Parts: sequence; structure tokens; C-alpha cells
Amino acid sequence: MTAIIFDCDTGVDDAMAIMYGAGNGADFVACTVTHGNVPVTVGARNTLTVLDAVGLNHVPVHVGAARPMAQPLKTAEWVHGEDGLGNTNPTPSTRPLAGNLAAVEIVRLARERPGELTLVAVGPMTNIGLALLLEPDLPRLLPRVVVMGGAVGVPGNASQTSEANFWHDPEAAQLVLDAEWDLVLVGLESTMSTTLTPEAIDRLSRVETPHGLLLWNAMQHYMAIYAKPLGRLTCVLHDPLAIALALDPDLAEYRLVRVAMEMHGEHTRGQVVGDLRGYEPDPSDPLEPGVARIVTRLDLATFHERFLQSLGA
Amino acid sequence: MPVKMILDCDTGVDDTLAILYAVLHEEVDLIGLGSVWGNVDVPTATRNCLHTLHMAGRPDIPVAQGAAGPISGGPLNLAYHVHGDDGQGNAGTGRDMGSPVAESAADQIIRLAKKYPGEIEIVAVGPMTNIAIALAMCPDLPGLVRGITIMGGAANAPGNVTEVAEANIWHDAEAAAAVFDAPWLVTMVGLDVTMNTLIDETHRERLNAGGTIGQYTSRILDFYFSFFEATSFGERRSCLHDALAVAVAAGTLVPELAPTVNAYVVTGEVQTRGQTVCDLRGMYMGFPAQEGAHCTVVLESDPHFGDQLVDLIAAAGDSAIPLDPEVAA
Amino acid sequence: MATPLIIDTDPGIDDALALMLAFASPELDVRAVTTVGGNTGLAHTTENALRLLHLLERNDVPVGAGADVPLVRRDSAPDPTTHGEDGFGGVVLPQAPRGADERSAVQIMVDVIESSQTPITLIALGPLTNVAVLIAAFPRTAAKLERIVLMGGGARVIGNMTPAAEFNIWYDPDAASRVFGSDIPVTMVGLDVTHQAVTAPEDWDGLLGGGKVSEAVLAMVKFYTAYHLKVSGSSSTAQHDSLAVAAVIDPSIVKTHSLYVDVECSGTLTRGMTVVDVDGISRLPANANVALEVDSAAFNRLLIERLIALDARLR
Repeated sequence: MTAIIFDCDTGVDDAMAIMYGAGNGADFVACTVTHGNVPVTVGARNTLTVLDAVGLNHVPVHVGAARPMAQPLKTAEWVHGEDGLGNTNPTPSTRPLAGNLAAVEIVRLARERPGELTLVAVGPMTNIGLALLLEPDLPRLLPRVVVMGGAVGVPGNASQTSEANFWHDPEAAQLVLDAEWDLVLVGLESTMSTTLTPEAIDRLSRVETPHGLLLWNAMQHYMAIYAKPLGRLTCVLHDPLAIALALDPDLAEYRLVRVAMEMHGEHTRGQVVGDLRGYEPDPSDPLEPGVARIVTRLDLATFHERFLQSLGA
Repeated sequence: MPVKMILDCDTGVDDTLAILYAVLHEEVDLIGLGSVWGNVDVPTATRNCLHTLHMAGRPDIPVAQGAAGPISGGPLNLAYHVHGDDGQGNAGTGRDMGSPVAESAADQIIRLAKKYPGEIEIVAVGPMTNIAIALAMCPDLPGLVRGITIMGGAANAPGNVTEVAEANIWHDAEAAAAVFDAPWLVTMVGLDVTMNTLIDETHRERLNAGGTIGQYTSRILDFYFSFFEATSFGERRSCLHDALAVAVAAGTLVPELAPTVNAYVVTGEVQTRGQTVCDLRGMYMGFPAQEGAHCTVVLESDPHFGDQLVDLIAAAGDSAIPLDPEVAA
Repeated sequence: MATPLIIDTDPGIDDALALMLAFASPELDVRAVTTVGGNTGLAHTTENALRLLHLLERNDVPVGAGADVPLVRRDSAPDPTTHGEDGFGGVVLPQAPRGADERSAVQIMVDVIESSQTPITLIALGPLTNVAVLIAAFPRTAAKLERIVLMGGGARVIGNMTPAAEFNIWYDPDAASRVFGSDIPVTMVGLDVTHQAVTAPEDWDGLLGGGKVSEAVLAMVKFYTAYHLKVSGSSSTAQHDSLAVAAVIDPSIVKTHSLYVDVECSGTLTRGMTVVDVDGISRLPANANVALEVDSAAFNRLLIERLIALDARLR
């Protein structure tokens, strides 16, 4: 079991990630919620609902940042539905939210259990950035961080050059990239290869577990949106890939790359600029600020199988 | 020794006054006009340059048409609401007088600079597109001229087109940046002084009491005064932006405070686009010399310059061409 | 009917090879060569162009000097390690019997375009300063161009000068922005293809024992190879500029895609990046034909064969 702090903006693929984690050895110590796919209040309610659906109704959910550090709030209901779960409006959980605010709880847990926890962040980085500002020693206390964000050497999705999570809060993303921790960056360069096969879709369509059904229904809207760029009814597993690699790093091979955020470009604010020129050998110290691991090879078949199994498909 | 001058302008009401000053003043040897987009589109600016020269009895001075839009290809922002649809306060004659020469404004600058090395002061009173083009076509240009005087920018004063940016710079910030960065002496006559150099209705009366040139000048100021009344002063008056630049360039108006400082123009898609950032931190110690500085920023000058200008135009006598509005056939 | 051309260039080693390829090819009719500052300063690029054309016995082609520095900014500087201080890696060619034309680069462009019956193709191998000035100062003349074929930028392989930008576009992003934003058809031959179409050291063996042209090529390639070895660990070299010329000689050598391209002028890390909308996210209309695939073998064959033939003809 891997002890995880899960920061999310639930969100259809966040729901997928929670279910993947629940079925693949995640010990959710806490969930923290950020603005992003939907406003933070909606995301918080959805996180509770999804946790309950997989029997994790003891996992506390902490509300976090309602907007980015330095730009106005933007959300993506057009992708995830008005309710953040594909407009299926499942019966919301009645569980209360936990007391501490997200960034405070991240710091508290890291101090309480130094070196034990893995942080998995699959929404905009605002809570993580706030936690870093509150606790400068956070990287030493939380040595492993896996983030769904960025697009290194591939086009973006929120803009031509930027992936959505980082585009929503470039200032926070910069804090995350610059921190001295072992950062795994799971960006569009790896997630876009996780498109579900027709066989996988077929298995999902016949799922009978209650949580599987909840997800299958929530996915309909999400797949319809992806049908246009992908050319068929399917979707991409951004957030599940991040948690999968946090739970089993051996699912992929990695390389260390120097990365930095473009903050000022007219077309490029929010872009992760990675140095892929090969003029110098790859950096050797993952803890160096501005250095992150990116995925070079992925065991896609195993990842897909574990995903389907976690839903009972 | 009169100063040889090439005047690049987007004629324009205040440009018209500047051209008249340059033609009429014996201390100025106006050897060419270049037209540029800005207040109005470039064909209108060209036409108004030609009309003004013909009116003042100097059809021999060449007018070269220049750039139609900003150097980076951005949107065209014109100012008919300030200068009238004809660039003459909607009170022009509508007459086409003569034609521009074949060469472009930038080519004219380069050719004349090579012909009179070290003598010419370029005076740019519109967006600096033509100057930036000339710099790119002739890398030696800065060394071939005496210097460049611009009407533009705002060192301490607020902007006009935005909170911080003056119109000529803002219209083509990239071209302005190229001009400020090139290795020549730049004299900046900006809103710091032009917003304080005013003419009012008493000046228009003096112009009306002159010859027909004076009367025409008064006529085109009517619309211009209304604009400034509504937006800046609450009273009928106007600034003398462009003529002030000509006078400073010619030395017929000596500024009271004009330190030479490091200055640059803000470019890019930012809130402060077009701001002229001038390093005035030395103001508490009388502006000690700054290394590498080549921009003289005029901060104070005689606010009554308008009297000198108006007297000159009122005494100019009658127009060499008819000035009644041409009736469309 | 040979394609009438103007070549705007900043020789530069790969520019030199590209010019040789152009003059070696009956499909092309080079009407003028214009120079710009980039790989090295304008004085050197102009002198290099003059000496090169003298070597190729083409002193009949006018060489016009253009811009030394970019359109707007003055913070670009060439990296002398790539092409040497003089731009030819220390290779000294015999002095030309003439100087640059008295007309500026842009003036020559205007004269050639206006006097040609057939629309002119403009091949731009360096920073786009002169091309942007042509468009800004003489838009009606520029509109008569058949197309602009430029070596620059990158869609997926984005950077060499910086992690995000190719050298030519990095050097003068404002000029590049003007060119892509004009309505003139643009073919972009960028790092996506030039990094694929590399020439191995042994590919040049056909030039051994040749005449003055082969000698010059081999000497420049030696310097260029040493540089590539140092930065990338490989002794194969990318013939960026020759590929742009090859694409005009034989368009089937590259495969282009009609895409929307803009240039980032404001970014700190992404200054000079060509933002190429490969996935059509912006939904803006395509404004360039971007070369994304290349037949490397065909390109190398063409380049070497033509250089050998040129050398033989001039021996």
C-alpha cells in the first residue's frame, strides 16, 4: 500500500484516478481539492461522492484554493459537464468536508509523517504552490511528487502550447518545478498515448459494479468531447496515469530533463519549456531545482488492464 | 546656419502647423517631407503635406509617401476623431495639389542623409515606422545624420492614448524601440512639454487677422480645439505637439531642462506597451552623466512658444493656392 | 522554365553550400543575392557572399547588403562557434573583383520583383529582417512574390539556439512575425526536417580530389562537423539552408502541411519560438506550408551530385 495525498479537481478523469487507486493499492491519507475542471466546491462534493462509491468513506476531503494565484478563475464544464461528472448528477455524498484547508493539511501531514507520503497532484498546482510557500522545507518532507501537468515537446490542449493544469496557474506550476523534490511530470507527452482501445471501451460498457457504472455514465460526455480530436468514441486517461505511476513507478521508464515555465509569452504563457536539444548530457540529480522526470516508455497494456480491473470491467 | 531638416509626419492638424513653421522660419532648411500613417491614413497624410507646401508657396519641397501601417503588421489605429476625416479638422479644401515623388519616405531619408552627411536632423512627428524601415535598409544611417528629434513619449507626464503611452509611440511601439535603441542622438519632445505648450482662441483671432494662410490655419484648428476641450482641458485650446519638436530640432526654442538619459520603449502585448521609460533618477542631483546615454529628454520649455508660432504664420501673408473648399464636380 | 529567385542569406557555412546548390541547378535562375546580419555580422556576410559568387564565376549576379541588426531589438548576437568569426569557419576564398551593389538589399528585391515577367520566389536562409522590411515598406511589390521559402523555426523539433527557438527566428522574431502574418504564401523548412536530413562525413567523399569548389566545401564542412561533434556528439551535420533550396528544386523532397503559424515575441524562455498549430487548436486559418517530412536520401543525393557537377564544370 502506498500512502498518498491526492490533490484533485474532480473531474471525470480524477474520478477514474480515485477508482484506479482504490483498486491498485493506494492508501488515500487525504484528498485535497483545487479549482480547475470545475469550481472547488463542486470538485469537493464530487470527490466525496466518488470516494464513497468505492467504499472509502473514511478518507477526509479538504477544500483548497478557489482560484489561481495570479489570474482569474477559468473552469472546464464543457469537458466534464456542469456537475463535473458528465451531467449525470449522481446522488451527492452527505459526508462533511474536513476542517483544515488543503494547503495547511498538506503541510501538516508532511510534517507528521516526513519521508513517508507520496503527493499526487492532478489539478492546477495552486494548493501545492501554497503549501510550498507555507513550508519551505516541504520538498524534504515530501520527497516524492507525481504531477499530471505540462506538455513537453508536444502541443498543448488548453492553448496551442500549454496543458490545462499548468495553463490554469503558471505561477504555482513554476513553484512546483523549481522545488527541490523528486518530481515525476506526467504530461501530455505521455498521457495522450493512453487512449482507450475499442476492446477496453467494450468491456467498460458491460461493467456491473456500482462504482464502475457510476464512472461509465460519467464518461459518456467526456468521450463525446474527445471524439472530435481523437476521431472515435474514446478518451484519454490523464489523471489515472499519474496515480498509476505513483503506485508502481516500474510501469514506465523515465529520463531527467531540465524544465521551466514560460510566464510572459503572448502565445506561450503556461508552457513548460523542456530542453530536449541534447547538447548536454541529461541532468543527473532529480532533486535539482528545475529538473523533472518525464516518461520515455510506458507499459500501456498493463496500465489499461489494471484500470479496467479496478472498475470491475 | 539654417538646420537641414527632413520632416516625417502624419498630417494631421498639428503637423500642418509644424510644416508651416518649418517652411516659414529662416532658421530651418526643410529639404524633404515624408508621410506616414498615424493620425490619418497615409494617402491623406500625403495629400495634406502637399497641400500645405503648395499653400505656403513651396511646391519645390519633395513629399515622399511612406508606410501605410505599423512595422509589425498590427492593426491600424487612426485618429480621425481628433483631426477630422480629412486630417484638416473637416475644414480642408479637398484639393489634390501635386504628387509625391516616386521614392519611398525611407529611401528619401537614406538618399538625403548620404548626400548631406552629418548635417540633417530628422524630425519625426508621427509613428516612427519610416525611420525604423530606413534604419533596417541602411545600417549606417545613425552615423550619417546629425540626429533625430521626435514628437513622442512621456517621461513623467501621463500618457494620452493609454495611462502611460503617448500616441506616436503607442501606435508603433516596435518602430519606436528601434529608433530609441539605434546609436544616434535622439531628442524626445514629449507630453511633458507639449501638454503645457498651448494656444487658445486669442491665438486663433490673431491668425484670423493675418493673411489667408493664417485664416486657413485658424479654420482647421476649430475641430481640434473641440477635441481637447472635451478630453483634456475643459476649455477651447490645443497643444502644439509637432511644431514644438520642429522648433527644438531647429534650435529656435531652447529647452530649459533637457537631460541626456538612458531611455527605452516598452514593446510587446503588455499593459504598459508604448511607455517611454526614461531614467530620471538623477533629478535630485542635477542629472549627472549616465554612461551610454544618447537620449535627450525635454522636460521643461517655454510654454509661450505658441506666440512665436502664431506670429510667424499670421505674418506669412496669403496662400499661393485657392483655399475655398473645392466643390465636388 | 527555370524558377526565378532572390536568395536572402547570411553566409554562414550552410548558406554557402545552399548557394552552391542553387547555382549548380538548372531548375533555378538566381537573379540576385541579398545579405543580412545573422550567423555573423553584415560586413562578413556580404563579403562572404561576394567571394563565394566570385568562386562560382557568377559576378554577374548583384549582391545587395541589407540589415545588420534585427528590425526592433538589439540584443541578438551571433554565436561565433557555429560558423566562426568570419562566417566561413576560417576558410578564406579569393577576393572578389567587385563590392556590393550600391542599391540596398530591399531596393534590389524591389527592382527584381517589379522587372520580372514571372513571379519571383524569395528563398530566405537567414533572419527575416530584409524580408519584413520589404513587406512593410513595399507591400504591393511584396504581394507580387510567388512565395517565400524560409529556413527557420520548428513545429515539433522546436529549438536549437534556445530550447524553444531556432536561430533565424530567434534572431529577429518581430521580422518573422511580420512575414508569417503577411498574406504572401510561405513555405517553412524548419528543424523538423533539417534535423532529419543530415549528411554523414563519408557522404562528402565524392568531392575528394576535386577542384576549387570541392576544396572550399570540404574545408567548410570540416569546421562545421567539428562544431556538430562538440554540441551533439555526432559527426553528421544538418544542411539546414541547402534543404530549403532543395525544396524549391524538387518539391517532392519534403512533405508540407498547411498550418497556422505565429511567432512568440514577448516570451522570456520562448522568445523566437514558432508556435505551429499542428493539432488545429486555435482554429485560425492556415497561413503557411510547414515541411514535416523529408526524403533524406533523395536530398543527400541531390546535394552531393550537384556539388560534384558544379565542381567539375568550374575546374
